[in-house]
Amino acid sequence: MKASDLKVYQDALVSAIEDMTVIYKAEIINSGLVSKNSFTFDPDATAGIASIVGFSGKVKGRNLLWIPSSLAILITEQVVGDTVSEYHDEMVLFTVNEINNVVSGAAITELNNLFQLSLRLSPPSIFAGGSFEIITPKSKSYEVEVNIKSDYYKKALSKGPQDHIVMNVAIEGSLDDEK
Amino acid sequence: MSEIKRILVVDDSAMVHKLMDRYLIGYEIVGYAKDGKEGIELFHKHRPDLTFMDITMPVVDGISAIKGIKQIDPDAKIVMLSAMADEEIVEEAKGLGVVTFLQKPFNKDTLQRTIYEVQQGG
Repeated sequence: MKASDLKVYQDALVSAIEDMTVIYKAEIINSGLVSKNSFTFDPDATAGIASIVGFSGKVKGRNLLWIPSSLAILITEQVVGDTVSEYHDEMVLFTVNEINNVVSGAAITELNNLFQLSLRLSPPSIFAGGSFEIITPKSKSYEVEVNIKSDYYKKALSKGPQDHIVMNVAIEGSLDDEK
Repeated sequence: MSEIKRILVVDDSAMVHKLMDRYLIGYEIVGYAKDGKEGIELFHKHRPDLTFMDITMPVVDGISAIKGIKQIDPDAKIVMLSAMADEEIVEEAKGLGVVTFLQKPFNKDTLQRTIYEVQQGG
């Protein structure tokens, strides 16, 4: 498996956001997958929610999905049909977890079918707040970022970190890196 | 054709529970289980017409829960509800007697259509 095969995460992230919210469109930014050493949350940006799902099989690693707090609230309200007051609301946390579950499930389904990796997901963990760095030892991580657009919520979504969702995938060992 | 009226949902996501509440109007949801162990217990207690079962859950996962439910009732109707649908897991679920697979994310139409197809299958 090569690093470029992790493109399945890009497709899965875009599909999950658009299928689950219906009214939002997801646009890949930063030319797709970017190789990173860790996931770093910008301390100058607003708070966010990070969901982490581990996977194991013929390779091991974890998927981290990060959504800024205001966008997490908007997405939750759209998906479940209820009003939410703050990003620490249980339903917001569960929604972010479920989005990660859907994205991770779709991506590793594709990887399993292509490479017979027999990958299985672990139950997710969730972190909420601001200014943190998540380092996964012995692993290289690859990141895809999407910009969220919606004609319906044009005023609520402004340019910048508030409307970006990040998926960071870390795999133990290394893959053949491609640019 | 066997009519589906009473449904059990086994999934650790409160978001999925919320969606089921919204989409399953007209059905009686006998319970929501947060893991496979609770799912087996609720199945034994309520004997639903249909069970929706997630795969990745804490305590007891979906595959193990299916085995537990089938020991209680070999004819239990179970629909696998999962974000994962690779060939290996689909084959394993079919081998355990799962009626069908519903891949996440699902909407009201796909959920209702799945129930209809289970009913038609008898």
